[in-house]
Amino acid sequence: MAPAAEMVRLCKEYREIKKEEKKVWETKYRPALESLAESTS
Amino acid sequence: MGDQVSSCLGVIGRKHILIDTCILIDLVAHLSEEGGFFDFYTMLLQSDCVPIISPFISYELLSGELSIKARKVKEAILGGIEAQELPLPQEIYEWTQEFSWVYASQKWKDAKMVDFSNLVYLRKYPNEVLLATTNHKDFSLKILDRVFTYTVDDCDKKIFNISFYKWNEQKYTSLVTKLEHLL
Repeated sequence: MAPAAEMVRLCKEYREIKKEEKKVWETKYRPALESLAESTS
Repeated sequence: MGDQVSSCLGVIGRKHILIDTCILIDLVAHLSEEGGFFDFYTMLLQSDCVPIISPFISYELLSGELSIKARKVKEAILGGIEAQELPLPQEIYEWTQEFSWVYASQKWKDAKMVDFSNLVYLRKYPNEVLLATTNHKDFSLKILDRVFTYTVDDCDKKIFNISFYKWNEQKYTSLVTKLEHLL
């Protein structure tokens, strides 16, 4: 098994990526989907 | 060394530990330089257990990732665990059908194929394999023995109980026999 420090680094890196993904979702994809929903209703 | 760690090392030593998806997900979500998950991972490092997973577990862990970047890091984490991915035993087809029948009869409703496949490994290798999971509701003591529970105290966030389960053929056969008479 990989040393604990390496696993901590990887898990933190993953959490950072997910945080960024959430930001992009909230600022880009969600408004686009909402606007699409409005225009088709 | 704490009592919990030394007791757990005594239970998991030289065993193959089937690491359920929920443990991997919790590890990814909570592992830091300190805290309960760091202690748990350090304990696994100290032990001479052999971590194993099934193809279903690796599929469940990696599925649903939208970005390639996130998927690659998760793959690296899985690689870091160095769990051997065991092939599916030939009995999987016959046994999972029986497990799903037993589960339905007991109204254990939420179990999925990945849970049944965990049972297949436990049943196939009852003296070698222990399942480590926090998903207790899908692994009943009517067919398994809970041999140890390790508590991960993630400071002021949450407490996780990681239990190690062993197959109990006597319990299982007795339940199946009763069901066959009833149904």
